Amino acid sequence: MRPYKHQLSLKTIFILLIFSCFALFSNLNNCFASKRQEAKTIHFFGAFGNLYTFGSARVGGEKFEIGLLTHSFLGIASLINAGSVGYFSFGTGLDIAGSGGGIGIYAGAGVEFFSFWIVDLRCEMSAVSSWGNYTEGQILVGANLAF
Amino acid sequence: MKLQIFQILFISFVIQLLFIVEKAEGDVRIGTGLSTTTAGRMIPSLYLGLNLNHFALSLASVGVQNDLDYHTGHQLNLFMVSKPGDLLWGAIEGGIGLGVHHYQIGYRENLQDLGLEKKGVAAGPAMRVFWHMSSFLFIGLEAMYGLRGALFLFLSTQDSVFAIVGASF
Repeated sequence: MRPYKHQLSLKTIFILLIFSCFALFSNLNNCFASKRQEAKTIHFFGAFGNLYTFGSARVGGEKFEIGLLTHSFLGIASLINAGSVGYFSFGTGLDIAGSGGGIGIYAGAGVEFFSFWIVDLRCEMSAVSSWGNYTEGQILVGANLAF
Repeated sequence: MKLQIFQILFISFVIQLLFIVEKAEGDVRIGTGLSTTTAGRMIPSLYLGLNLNHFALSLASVGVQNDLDYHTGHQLNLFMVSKPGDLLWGAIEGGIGLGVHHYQIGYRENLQDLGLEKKGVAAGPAMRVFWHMSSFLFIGLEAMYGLRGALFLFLSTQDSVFAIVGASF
């Protein structure tokens, strides 16, 4: 059967697949290499939270982060490497959306992997609790830009 | 006579175990704090934990009751833990694992009403991060993200977070 005008032929799909697999496998070492262990001057992290709404926006250095740690918690956190791609973070900040506001603590555990150039995929289990009756846990998925 | 032989064998076996088995490093924790279980209301929770080498088990409980409603929640978490670094003067302890949360809620409009009850279980990945302020005092968060079908693909989970201030012995 003659393929439709804009339809890719099986041969073309096969060649594209072969090349994309080759490109992926040749880059695997870089993809899963830990960039977290490397010295970084500055990094930016943006993430989605619950139902892919805004989750987090942070800027930081090698061992700290500052910004909106979750969608409603402004603070500063310390980053501690764990293993080759994992990290834990712990910090303090201000609840800016809770019923009464107030200071609180933040904790996170996550992984940073699949590096392409300066962009890493980063997933985090985060939790915050503040004195103003606000306690929440969220899973964050986002991109980390490290320079 | 036969019993004595068994007793001697048993004692020698225990003595050998003491020399063979690797020394376990562990501690017991007790604490209190807040939880999402009660929508963050200022209701203290009770926290009990056990750390043994690289594993940790914790049980947290929170509850409130009055004439018209009650709410109770229990959470059991199992972690693989490590102390990867320090924050200021204290060590950070992090853990990744699995957790189960059980809750029960009861509510009635007035004292004559029989009321409604609801209970459920959530299970999923869990994490903990504690900051050890001193040799025995710690503060931190323990969270469990209950998976509900395929909703986790939308990053939606039934979270249950305990903020804990406690002591380890």
